[in-house]
Amino acid sequence: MDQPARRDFVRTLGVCLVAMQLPRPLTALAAARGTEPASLARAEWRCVEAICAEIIPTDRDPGAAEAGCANFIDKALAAEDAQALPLYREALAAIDALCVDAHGHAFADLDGAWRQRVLTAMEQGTLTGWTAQMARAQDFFATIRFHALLGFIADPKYGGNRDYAGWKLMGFPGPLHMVGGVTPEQMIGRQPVMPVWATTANDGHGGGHR
Amino acid sequence: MAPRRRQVFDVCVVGTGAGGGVMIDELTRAGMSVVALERGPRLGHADFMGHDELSNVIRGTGFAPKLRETLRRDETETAQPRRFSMIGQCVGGSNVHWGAMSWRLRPDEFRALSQDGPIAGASLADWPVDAAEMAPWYDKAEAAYGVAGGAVHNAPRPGRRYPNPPHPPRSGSQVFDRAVRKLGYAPFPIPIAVNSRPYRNRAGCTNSGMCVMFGCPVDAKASPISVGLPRALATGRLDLRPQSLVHELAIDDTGRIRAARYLDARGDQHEVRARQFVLAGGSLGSAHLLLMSRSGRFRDGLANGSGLVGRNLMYHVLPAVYYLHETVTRGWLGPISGQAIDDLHASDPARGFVRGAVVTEAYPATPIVYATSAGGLWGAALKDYLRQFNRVHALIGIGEDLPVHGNRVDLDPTHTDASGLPVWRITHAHHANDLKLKAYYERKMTEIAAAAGAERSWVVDMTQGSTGHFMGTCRMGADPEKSVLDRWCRSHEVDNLWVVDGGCFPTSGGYNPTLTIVANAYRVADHFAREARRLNLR
Repeated sequence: MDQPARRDFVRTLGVCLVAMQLPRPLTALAAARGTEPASLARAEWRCVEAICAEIIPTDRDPGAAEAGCANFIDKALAAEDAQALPLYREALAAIDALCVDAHGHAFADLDGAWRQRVLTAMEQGTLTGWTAQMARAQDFFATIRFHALLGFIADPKYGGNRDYAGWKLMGFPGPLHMVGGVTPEQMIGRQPVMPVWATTANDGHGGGHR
Repeated sequence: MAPRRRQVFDVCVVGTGAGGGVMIDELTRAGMSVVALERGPRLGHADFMGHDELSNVIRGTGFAPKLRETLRRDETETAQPRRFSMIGQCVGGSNVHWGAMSWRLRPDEFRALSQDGPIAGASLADWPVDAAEMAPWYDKAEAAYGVAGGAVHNAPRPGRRYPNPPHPPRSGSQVFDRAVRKLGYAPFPIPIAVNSRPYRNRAGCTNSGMCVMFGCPVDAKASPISVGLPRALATGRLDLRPQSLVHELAIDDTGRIRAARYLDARGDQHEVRARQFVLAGGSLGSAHLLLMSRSGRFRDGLANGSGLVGRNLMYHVLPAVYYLHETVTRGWLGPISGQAIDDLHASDPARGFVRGAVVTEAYPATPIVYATSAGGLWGAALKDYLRQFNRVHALIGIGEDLPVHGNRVDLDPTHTDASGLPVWRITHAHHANDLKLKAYYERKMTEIAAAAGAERSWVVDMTQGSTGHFMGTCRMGADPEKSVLDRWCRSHEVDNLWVVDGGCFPTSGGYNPTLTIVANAYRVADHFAREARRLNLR
């Protein structure tokens, strides 16, 4: 398969099949119910959490672990992204199985260097022992990479971006319509902009609170 | 009183975006009864407050949850389902979430064929109208939409100002301004149809960001839902029917359209009768509906004797360069606005390609839009890329792409939507001229980044992404064999059919197209109303 076609495939699987479904419960509603798993089994959740932590690592600033990217993915797979759940199930099982075979531990129990080696091999399509049939290793990697990224920086109402970790990292103040607008002095940088987390309750935006 | 299903309206308008919004507004004002059929829902301020990037940019649930389409590069491929079109399927159409850049085309952009001669592999054509004829309608469109800016760009006479002053600048604009002046270019504010102050009963912008790809919760952004439709509804002559998916225009024995058949939100079938039918479903939607309206008389689709319905689909080529600079951009504040240069626009075959582009600032204004430019980065590199969000400046060119006969929208032979209707299939590959144009502007924008003192700069390839600038598919012209519509956007073949959206564009021009759609709709509406008064419309 050539490069553009593969990209299309990834985009389709990871994001867009979603939009082809009939209306389902919104991820935001699932996320509002709490942080208990809604679609993933405990072991699957741990694996997702560990992969996300490598995709957006924690350094001097919070990463995927603190932002709750696994919770975002779990809630999305229970709602708009439900079509991708079987793919996740199969791929996560394949990853844990090949890690146990090669290292005697599930992915989440490997140290950071080994995790990165496994993910690099997935990304490059050179991973041995990939048994999943629904997608190639590199396609699943691209899918979970994109979902982790969305979990980090999408509106907190979807269950990720906890405490606005993603927006704080990027220096994005959030949607400001509900906090009174912005002056020309703020646009040019002579006065600071008050971010939404300094002015609203930390329960997300929009439909969630009015 | 006659029951609703028996009523015969003066005009049925299909689609309520930039073109349809103007037609509805002007024709109800002229005293006609209008029924407007819109496939999407009627969204309001509360919906726009609740929208976010995941709903609008990634999932499409905010503006086009039911959109289904397939895509391929050429006839040999099987088209694959993919979300490609950044369009709004709601009352107000894509005009609700547009970026609001509001340009007049240059005079030569109405006569690309005369200026640059035939180009192999392209179907260049002159417009049947010119800049002089369009000028008063651009005036009217700018006034209605409250365009903000400095001197009117591409105005036939110097000295004219936009109806509203420019928006306040963001810190990043100063970097752009210094860089382009150093290179000898003349920067000016991008004309933008967002109120920079209260104007005609609409509020001024609050500079809160989240503008392009979002609806405006305070109606500062111009669109049919803030400008034309409230007025039209107030006349009492508009019957606005949201969630009404028109799937067929039914003809009578004489080959005129008798009725529009549509499905409501529950999937129930309805029929509405009118004397005149105005299609304004966008370049994709209008062509799609004509091609679905097959009959014994019109075997290849309604009004398609030329075989050109759906063909010459254009959507611009968008060269883009991002650069990292020590200055924080604050690109996430305000409307999209910013500065532009147009010194590099004029067509010059000596550059190795024809036609041109306007070059503007275009910050990645929201987190997810920015993050999608990170390619496949992960780990520490991805995190560093995210950290740079507030210092990444961006330049974009709106490149005139050439019309190509094989680039088209038609009916997908296998994929259907939730109602069982064939989805539209986009077949498109850029002409070689488009790619040369893109490469040239990428070089020029890289020079601007260097002049700005960028720490580094990189090309962002937007040809792999999505677009909203759909044009062509029902080109207008004088010759019924070489065009679908006449100079008034009226079908050459079916005398009560008009198509008033971006579909009529024979060529694309190197600017965002919406103001031209709006201005052209005012031109057509004026003619339509005159013809009605002369009793020339049956």
